[in-house]
Amino acid sequence: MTAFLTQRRAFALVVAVLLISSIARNSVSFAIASVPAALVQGLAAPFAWPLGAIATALRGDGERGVDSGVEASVAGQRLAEAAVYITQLEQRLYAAEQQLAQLMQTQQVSSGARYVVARVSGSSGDPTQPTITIDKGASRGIGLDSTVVSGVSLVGRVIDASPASARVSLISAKDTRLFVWIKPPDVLGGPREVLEQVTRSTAGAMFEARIEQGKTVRIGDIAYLADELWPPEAQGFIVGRVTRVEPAPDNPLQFQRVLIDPIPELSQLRRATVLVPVE
Amino acid sequence: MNWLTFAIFAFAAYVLETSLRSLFAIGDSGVSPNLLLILMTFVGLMAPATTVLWASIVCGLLVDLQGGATLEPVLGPAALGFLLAGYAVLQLRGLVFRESAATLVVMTFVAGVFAQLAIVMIYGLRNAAITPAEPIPGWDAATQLYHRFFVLLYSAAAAAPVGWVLFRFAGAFGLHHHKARNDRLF
Repeated sequence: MTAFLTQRRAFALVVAVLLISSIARNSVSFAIASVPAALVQGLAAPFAWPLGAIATALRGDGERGVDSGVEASVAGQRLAEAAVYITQLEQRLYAAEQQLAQLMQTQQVSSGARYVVARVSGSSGDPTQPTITIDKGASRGIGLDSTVVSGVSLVGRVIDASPASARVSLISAKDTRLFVWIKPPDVLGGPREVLEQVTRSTAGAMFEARIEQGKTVRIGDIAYLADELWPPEAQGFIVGRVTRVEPAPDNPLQFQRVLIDPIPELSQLRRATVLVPVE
Repeated sequence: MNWLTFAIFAFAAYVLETSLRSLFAIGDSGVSPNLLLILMTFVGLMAPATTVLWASIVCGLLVDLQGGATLEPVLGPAALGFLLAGYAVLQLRGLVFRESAATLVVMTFVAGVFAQLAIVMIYGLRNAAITPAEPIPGWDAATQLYHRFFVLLYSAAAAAPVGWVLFRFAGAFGLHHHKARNDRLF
């Protein structure tokens, strides 16, 4: 039986790998070369160092600067490549700082509120004014307009509070209008954000926004509450996630329609948290 | 060919090139001899065809590991360039008297032309928008060719003394009595 890896096949395989490495992205090429480079340089270092010292001593140069045209060109290439890499890192850092600021704002505002965890004991089922009933009420400090959340997602507002229960109007109500920041879900999305008002949608999603074509919104982006009509402790909570971006049916050239759905299924909540402002 | 001897000489060439480059460079031009090219040409003149191709790839890889136009080493441009050079030596060696330092000088230059052109072409492809690789900032093919031409001249000149040493060790390489009866590649 002939061996699978004949010399011809091995040669072809090596040439193929070298071809791919020659034209692949830097991350791939550098990764392929990293191990052999480290190995060879590690083996050569004990010999190269004394020889290099001898060469320096014989040549009589101190710190050999870059003052030849070709060396300057090569050094310039490397500096330029390093500058590009640094710029990319700066962009990522900026995006991470934006996201951290957003999280810190949410936490700072929420730290001015007390969290009351409640169980959902009922729901109205009304599609135009959907509500849920929770098993905590005024006796726990829950009052009118208290914000109700589920994790980091916005659920609604308290519209009626009795001593032992409260009724919450969900954000999925028909006439809901909210101002939100639409931002990428992680730092890889880049430093971009759009402030828009979302309204209840009739296009198969919970909310929709009408955004100018020049603004970048992508599927997966997150909508954070940024509405002055809501209490400070509610700002920054997640209204939903962008599920579709398409040209606006009435004016496709100038506007795009962004459809947003809440992350938890509001009608199937079993627990909710009420943010009670701390006086 | 004795691959252990070849490995030792290739490693020595790599170490000497990287550590003594500043000593042998002409002024501040950065032009220094390419010892691995000389070694590859020597093997190309003396060894069987298959051995020449593999040795060319190894020498080219060692050149790649020294770094090129990109921030970190990229395996491939010099390896493939040296492979092309090795193939060129295989095609031309039947026309020359192999065991001669003069032949080694001329063939080093000729092989080096093939190698450097291929290297510049591959880096040029890498820099162009047609490959997935990111552009190389400040890359200029004309500057590279200019610089590499002088490296070739210097390498060819250095091939005389280096070749004198290599031919003394031809027996250690196992190449002294090689008769090229069959130059099939595989």
